[in-house]
Amino acid sequence: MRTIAFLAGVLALAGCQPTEPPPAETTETAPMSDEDMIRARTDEFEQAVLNADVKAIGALFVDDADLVDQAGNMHHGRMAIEERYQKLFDGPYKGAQGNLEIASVRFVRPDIAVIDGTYELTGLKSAEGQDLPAVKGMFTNVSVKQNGQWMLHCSRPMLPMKAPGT
Amino acid sequence: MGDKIMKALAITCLVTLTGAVSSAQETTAEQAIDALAQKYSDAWKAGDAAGCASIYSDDADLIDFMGMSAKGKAAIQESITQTLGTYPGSSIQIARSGIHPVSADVVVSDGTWEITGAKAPEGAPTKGFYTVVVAKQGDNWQIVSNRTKVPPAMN
Repeated sequence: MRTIAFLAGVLALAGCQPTEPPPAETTETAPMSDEDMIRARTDEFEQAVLNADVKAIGALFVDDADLVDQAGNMHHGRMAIEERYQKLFDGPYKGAQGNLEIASVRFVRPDIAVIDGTYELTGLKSAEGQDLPAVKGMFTNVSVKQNGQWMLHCSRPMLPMKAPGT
Repeated sequence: MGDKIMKALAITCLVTLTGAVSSAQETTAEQAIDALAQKYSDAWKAGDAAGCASIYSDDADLIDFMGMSAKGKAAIQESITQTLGTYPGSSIQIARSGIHPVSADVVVSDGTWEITGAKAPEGAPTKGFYTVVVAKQGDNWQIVSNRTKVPPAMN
């Protein structure tokens, strides 16, 4: 009986004790994974294309980056890549809408990734101002993590060849 | 004054050595890539899909000019077997046009390919471009990623 009373007292005391304050809400978020960072960079690229902002596009590439376009032309260095996009924005990409979808991110090394995906461009115009059909293509990028940032090293967009008869 | 000259000489030697080392590394990667291309061409001519696939790493991937992908050496070998069946008795010429070091042991290399000596089926391309990511695995360089493309104007 005495034991029960003692236990009841302990429990009562425990119940009277001020409760632990809830842990302070933290505003810190978990660090982004490398894949999430790469996907975020791709979103930045997509937005820069939508804004026709060649400097923002160039800022995603390392100085020595290169791009081989759909026709096989090499554009070497950030400036050449910016010039290539400026020509597109002054021409067929003017007012165009586009979106990029990443299909896979593969880490060849912890700080080197091969990124594959697809892109679609709509609202393209010919030099004469006529509407052009939407373009659906694929891209492969090689990105490198430098100073905590994923930067584009190589970009290889391509238009898949249609099967004969299609 | 003597100290300054010695320091200048030391810096010059260091710069020279650094240049020599990076040049040597680049040459090694270039030689390795050219050797892989030759091995691939030889195997192609022999109709040897396994030989062609041997230049890839086990976890390599390939996306061809039609956008079809093959993941892993076995799938790549299967893809090459089908391609060899499309171009029986042919040869393939691979010409490297550029090399872009990404790190000391990973490079991106671009070039062109052309298939000759076979009557290709109508609509089948006979030339195009490629981009490979080549990585050093132990002492060997292997292709970890290959992307081929055929620009509309090429065929």
